[in-house]
Amino acid sequence: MQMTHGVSAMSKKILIVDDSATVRQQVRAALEQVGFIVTEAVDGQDAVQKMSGGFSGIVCDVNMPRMNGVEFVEVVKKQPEHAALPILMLTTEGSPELIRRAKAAGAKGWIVKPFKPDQLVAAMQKLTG
Amino acid sequence: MKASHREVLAPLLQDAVEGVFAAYGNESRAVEGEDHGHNIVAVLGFAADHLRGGLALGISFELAKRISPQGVGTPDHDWVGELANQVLGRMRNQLLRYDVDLGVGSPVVLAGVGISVKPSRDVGLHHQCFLSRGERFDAFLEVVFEEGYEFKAPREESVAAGEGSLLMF
Repeated sequence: MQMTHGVSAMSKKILIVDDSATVRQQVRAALEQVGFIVTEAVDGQDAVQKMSGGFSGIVCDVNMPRMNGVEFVEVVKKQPEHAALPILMLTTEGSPELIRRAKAAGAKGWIVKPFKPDQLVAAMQKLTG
Repeated sequence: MKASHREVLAPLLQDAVEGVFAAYGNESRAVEGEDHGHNIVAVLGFAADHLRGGLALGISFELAKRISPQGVGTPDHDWVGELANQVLGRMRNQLLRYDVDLGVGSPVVLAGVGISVKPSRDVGLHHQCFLSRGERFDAFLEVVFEEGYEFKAPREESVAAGEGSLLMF
């Protein structure tokens, strides 16, 4: 079992939502290194269809085709069974208006790319711990 | 592109490109040069009140391979699209100081031989050549402004969350 910052990530499932395959792989590598189990979705619409996966947390981009990240948070948080699921936004966006909207919708954190893997891991461990 | 528009956008583009490349350990610097064609071109459209346009990043297969994250197993093309996305993201965050709030599309990536970027409208294409790891690459910006539009004076402080920031709610 791998431990970082005193929190075990073993067997916790995380959904990564990003339209860039490279970013998904970077996030996957960082999270799998500490024991998270990772599933990928290519945009918000794809993620909605994968929500039955028993996830402990979600890492989500903002600018994506079909359904963007903030819209995705708004959809997920309206579903009672997923309302408590922590969602961390990972995006190039730094707009206060978008951050306010995501926070109001129920997102729990926001990282502006480029991201540091350790920072992402620590945030997800805190949110899912 | 009018000189007053270029005065704002050209340094933002240069800073954004150099900043994004540096964030991934690839130093780059602006140099003089012509567009001689590319193997990979990533294009993103954007729009805001009073303006709309596109950003393109043109790069060789060789440089794309050198700067792509190692061991990830995804095509280098995808990474070039993400770099263009992050360049425009940085510009977007800086343009908030001018009260310009860009809506940004998803990157489209083209691959081929000798892809050359030309202006699509009679508004002037801003082109900046860069050098990284001994290889040239190019960034292009084409923007159509509402007639008579000028950027506001920028706020002193950035209003956007900075790159690498972590906010917990």
